[in-house]
Amino acid sequence: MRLFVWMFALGVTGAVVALVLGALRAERRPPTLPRVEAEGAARRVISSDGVTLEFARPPRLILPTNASVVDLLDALVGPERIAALPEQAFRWSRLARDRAGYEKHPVFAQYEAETVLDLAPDLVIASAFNNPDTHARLRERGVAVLRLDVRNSLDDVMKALRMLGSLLGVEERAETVCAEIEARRERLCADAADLDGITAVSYSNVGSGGWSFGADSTIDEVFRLAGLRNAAARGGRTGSITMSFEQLVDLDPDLVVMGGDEGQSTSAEVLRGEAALDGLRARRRDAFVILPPELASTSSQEMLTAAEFLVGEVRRLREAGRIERRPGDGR
Amino acid sequence: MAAERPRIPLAPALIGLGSLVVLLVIASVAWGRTGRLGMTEATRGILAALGLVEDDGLAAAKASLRLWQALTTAGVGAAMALAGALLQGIFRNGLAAPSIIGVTGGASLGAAGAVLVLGGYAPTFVSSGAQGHAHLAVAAASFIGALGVTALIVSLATRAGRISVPTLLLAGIAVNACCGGLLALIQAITQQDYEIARAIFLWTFGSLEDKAPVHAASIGGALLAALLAIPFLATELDLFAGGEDDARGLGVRPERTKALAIIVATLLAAVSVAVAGQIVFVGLVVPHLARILFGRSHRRLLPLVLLSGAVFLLGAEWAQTALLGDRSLRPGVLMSLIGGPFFLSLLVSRRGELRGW
Amino acid sequence: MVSLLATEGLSLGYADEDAVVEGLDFELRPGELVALIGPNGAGKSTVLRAFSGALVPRAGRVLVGGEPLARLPARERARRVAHLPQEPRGLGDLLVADFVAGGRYAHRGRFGGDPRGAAVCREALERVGLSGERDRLLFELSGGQQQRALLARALAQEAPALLVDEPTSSLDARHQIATFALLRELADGGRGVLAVTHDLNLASQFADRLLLLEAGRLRAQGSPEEVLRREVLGPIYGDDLLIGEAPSGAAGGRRPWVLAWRGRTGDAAR
Repeated sequence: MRLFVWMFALGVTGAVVALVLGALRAERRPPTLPRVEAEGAARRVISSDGVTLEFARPPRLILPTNASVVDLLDALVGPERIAALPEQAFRWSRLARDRAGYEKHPVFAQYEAETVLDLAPDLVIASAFNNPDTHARLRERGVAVLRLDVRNSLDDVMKALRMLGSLLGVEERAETVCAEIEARRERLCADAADLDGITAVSYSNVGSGGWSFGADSTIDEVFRLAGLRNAAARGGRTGSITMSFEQLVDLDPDLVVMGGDEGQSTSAEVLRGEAALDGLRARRRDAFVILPPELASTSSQEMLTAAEFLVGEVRRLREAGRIERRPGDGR
Repeated sequence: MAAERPRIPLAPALIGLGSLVVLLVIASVAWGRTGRLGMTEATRGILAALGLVEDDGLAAAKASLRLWQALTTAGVGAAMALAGALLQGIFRNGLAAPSIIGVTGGASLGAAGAVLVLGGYAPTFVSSGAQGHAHLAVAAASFIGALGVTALIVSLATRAGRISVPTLLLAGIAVNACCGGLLALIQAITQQDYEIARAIFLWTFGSLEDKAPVHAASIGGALLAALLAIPFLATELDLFAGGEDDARGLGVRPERTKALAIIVATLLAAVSVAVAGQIVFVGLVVPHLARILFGRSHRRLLPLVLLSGAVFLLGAEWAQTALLGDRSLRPGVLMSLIGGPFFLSLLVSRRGELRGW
Repeated sequence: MVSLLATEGLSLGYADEDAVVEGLDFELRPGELVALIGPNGAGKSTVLRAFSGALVPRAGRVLVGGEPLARLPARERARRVAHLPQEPRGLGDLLVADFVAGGRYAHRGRFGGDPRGAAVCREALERVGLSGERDRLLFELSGGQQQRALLARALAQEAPALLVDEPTSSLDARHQIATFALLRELADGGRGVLAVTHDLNLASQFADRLLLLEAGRLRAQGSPEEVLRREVLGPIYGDDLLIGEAPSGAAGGRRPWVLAWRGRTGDAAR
């Protein structure tokens, strides 16, 4: 019996090691953007999950399952071609600020086959977060489901916009949108030129430990667009990462960026209430920026809006003397 | 625990519960998330889903979605309840249930491990019916995980050929914590990979929506295997009530009975987890209520528990869909809300017994 | 005559611990009631466990009807040896009839065929005087009735050898005597009965033979007169025992009668 227990413990240890190795080996696949082939009115597109969809003419009524796709479609086709809205769009997309034109749209809380069938869209645009069971059931019943995986960069957002433009038969509109984005980016770039060297960390903590984002994240892209340096990306950290008080003090950024409603943020309260953070420059000077929810986690062209918002806030903080360029920083 | 004389005779109970399952399946088809279907539409949809008539209308499409979901739900409820009854019979304790002694945790871990080791990209792999082999591979891994956990806790809790129930439950807590930790580890490693993160999330809280015939068939297959094993287990489990030695004296081979019961219970729990994720406490609550209603003889109890489990989970899911519609809770969450207090009340009602531990 | 049960140089023990029973040779023949006596921890119950295959011998072997126990299928063994546990632990919420039917397990086919089962169970209940209690739950019965229900189940097993573990420990004097009288009757009917008991006087009155076990070894065996002597019992139970003769009219006649003399408290605790 004892032998058995030991053998089992050995087996479990082995399995855990195998799991960890397997996980480390299974490198992250970069998201693959769907590819569209257009021939006259016919469209053929390969979804991010490998399924090929064919259309005799561009699909008209589109159902977005998440807030970022709502932003993309809102820019490309507007309310009349959007079949319904996911509930979260009113918090995490542009519609959080202005829902004009969308007052009468059906709203759904869960992406689930029956609901979608009822809404009878020509095309569902979903993300990697959605339940793949639902994709499968819908496709079995003849509903086209496109999974759209977008990399966390504005360039990829523009690629996605052009791809969708071609798929939905609004190529020109897509070019216009992208040109606007390019123009805004250039303006922002010029505007933020003197901010280079200012370091920022995104931070969230609702009392159960701190989190931040390293490189290869949307907030990292937003910082880059705003001319800020993402201090949390130091040491090659990528994606969603933990951020202890100690690490935060060690990074000691000029600026801490947090999400919150109407300037109120639980994370900011946590930072203000923690005695151990006396050494944190951003707290001493109150150099906190609160991003509204729809800008804090967007992976659409709204990243640009977030960056514009950040630049404005940083400029205001600097004028108030709450951010100073340190000697040796920047150029 | 106060024993109750069986109140409801076998045949009426079987017929009653059986028709209740059928009624609930029909009700689930007729009354779903997006409102009601008429009886003719629902019937026609069911026939279309079974390939008996041609109908590709919206009502038929909805009916078929609801049908496979209802059948999967019924199967998962039945499987978890039967697994619970078998484990409680073999360990001679009403507190032994797949989710409490760590069997479901082990199954989740096994399934998650399979996705990783197979280099897998979970969703298409685990959930979609398109790739049947992958589905089976994950179910097999989940079975191995569950069996491993069961073997471990049984060997930890066995001394001089007897199983100590307190040790069993404590070992279950420890193993559950380990499984939770390992799952979190996998989650931490793979958190960039939304697909895997998403699949693990599904397992943690269960998911019954948008199921395909392959899901219903998997759980149906496991239940069929269990049904075939019942004639080799029911009488033996009754004789087990007096302890292993007593059963042995009557001609039972306790080792064989234990092994068979544990393998069948593990198979049921593992396939449930592979199909629908962790839905806890069904295996605790249902056998308990069934014993009160139908008595303790396993020859009656096992088939009735199977049907009761189907009625319980299907009824709960149907009720919450009818009441909450689009805002329904994840099934694992709902069952925790029901099962957690139930487990506590069981512990409280047995405080006298527990004091001796 | 082939013995119903026998052991040859049997040694038993649990896991990594010292042997509980060592070098036991013993035989049970049809028609005899043998009492297995000895102080607490002598290994009496362990011996009974060995007869059901619950314990694999460390040395020696167990024979059932002349065949090695290890080679008998479980059901065949159960058709030859029936066990009577001390109390129906864990079985209280069964109907008496269902409980007794459990004894038929070894006679049933895989798919439940046991044509004589119902009649045998009815007869067994009648024999122990519980015909009227068939449809009650076991835990509703009195201690003496529960004991008899256990016996009825063992009778339903129709095994020629019957092993009984302290059948009288929870019974009053009247039921103690009734139980042993019934065991005696069964032995007289041709069964072989081996009863573990602490009650030396009941053993003396009803048993043909006594086996005295101490610290896992057989210290004495033989008729009550041979075993219940001061020279034999003294070293084991203490020398404060009074041994006389049973009063006239006792069931087994004027056999030895043992009383502990409690005058010397120090030794009485032994």
